[in-house]
Amino acid sequence: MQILRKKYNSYSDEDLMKLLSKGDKQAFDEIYLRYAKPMFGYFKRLLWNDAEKAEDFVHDLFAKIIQKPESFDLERSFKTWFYSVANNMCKNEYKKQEVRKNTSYTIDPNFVAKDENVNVMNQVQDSFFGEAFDIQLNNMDAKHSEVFKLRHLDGLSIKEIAEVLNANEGTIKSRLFYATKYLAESLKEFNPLLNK
Amino acid sequence: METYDIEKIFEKRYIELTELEKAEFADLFQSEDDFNQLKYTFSQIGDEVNFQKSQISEPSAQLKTNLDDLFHKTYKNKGVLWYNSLAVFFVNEDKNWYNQNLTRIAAILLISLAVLPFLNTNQLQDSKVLTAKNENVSEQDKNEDKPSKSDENDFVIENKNGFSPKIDNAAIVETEERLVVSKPPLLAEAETKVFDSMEGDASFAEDVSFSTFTASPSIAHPDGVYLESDDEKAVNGTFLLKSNPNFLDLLTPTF
Repeated sequence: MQILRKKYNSYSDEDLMKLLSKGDKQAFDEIYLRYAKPMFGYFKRLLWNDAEKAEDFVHDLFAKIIQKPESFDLERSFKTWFYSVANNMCKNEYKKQEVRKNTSYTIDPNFVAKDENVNVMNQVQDSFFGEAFDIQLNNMDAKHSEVFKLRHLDGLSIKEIAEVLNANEGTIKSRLFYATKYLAESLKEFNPLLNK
Repeated sequence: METYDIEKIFEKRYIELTELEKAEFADLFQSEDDFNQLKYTFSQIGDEVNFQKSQISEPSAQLKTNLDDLFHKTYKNKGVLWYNSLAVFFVNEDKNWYNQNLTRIAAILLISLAVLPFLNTNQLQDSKVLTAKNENVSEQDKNEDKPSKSDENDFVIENKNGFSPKIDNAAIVETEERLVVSKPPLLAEAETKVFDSMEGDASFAEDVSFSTFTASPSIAHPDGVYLESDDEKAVNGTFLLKSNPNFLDLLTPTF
């Protein structure tokens, strides 16, 4: 039976989408296996580390490819298309949150306080590097941190990031450069070479 | 900064950097110490990124169950038909024409048909002849109400190909009879004369010793026929060759 079974793990994402659109359940399972975890992490990062919200977004994202597989253009890369959709979902969520913030009298629980004047070094002095890194990443300009996360946490190439964010590659390289520079300067206090 | 990838810069050592690269990243580092410090920080960031990636948890199993339900609801009317699967097996749109299973099967059939006529032609012909012979025999058997004596004596010869045709014994006997009949008529007449004369005046003595024939130096006949001398004739006196000159001539062809 194993011989007759198709090797779905060897198929490209695009081929799997073709099969999925024909109602192939195993193709869907393979796509889920490949992308559920990375997309969950992506949404969690972009949606204020809210795991429940991130899971809802993952559900909506996969529901979209189940119900409307034709919305994916087979000529495109599935990975970049998938991240583009996820990115747009996050942007819509930001807009919703913005509207709620303006109309609500209560403090939004997702709102993260951001004070440019806070001495970051004092905050992270007694903490681990990881925590300081997270703080600096969140303090960074959104368009720079977005590129940095897509590059290093999601493992997308410069070209793929450019497609996801609908920008040219030069812009992405430039943003990545400034994001790296910002982090390196912000976190240099943790450098033992400098503390000698 | 658009020319050089910052990640690749940190893969190098400071002395390996070109002047162009140093100028490009001048606002990041001015000296080798700055470069090493930045490189170290960058490697720390890399470690942290890897750690965070490893910390990403799986979404809950309930999410997958919900999506499976949604999938079954959406595609419940789009069951895969068995003949569609069969069609996909033979003609797959994703493959080139020469990789299609249908093309492969057709090629195998074509090669088989092309090669088949050249396989064991002689054997096939032999089997046809033998089969025809057997059919004749069986038809003959059917026509006869009772089995003849010759049929009972039929024997089976197994050839090396495994065929076992029946051969009629009567045909062989008939052939032997023809050989007997075809003896030269002159020889037959002479033979008859000799034995007729022998009945009257000669008889083969049983007491003639065999050593007489073998020791005699007078054996001059090329076929080794014994010629009796006059003395011997006087001793034996039972059979006179001179009186039967045709005897030796008759014997010669019989050898």
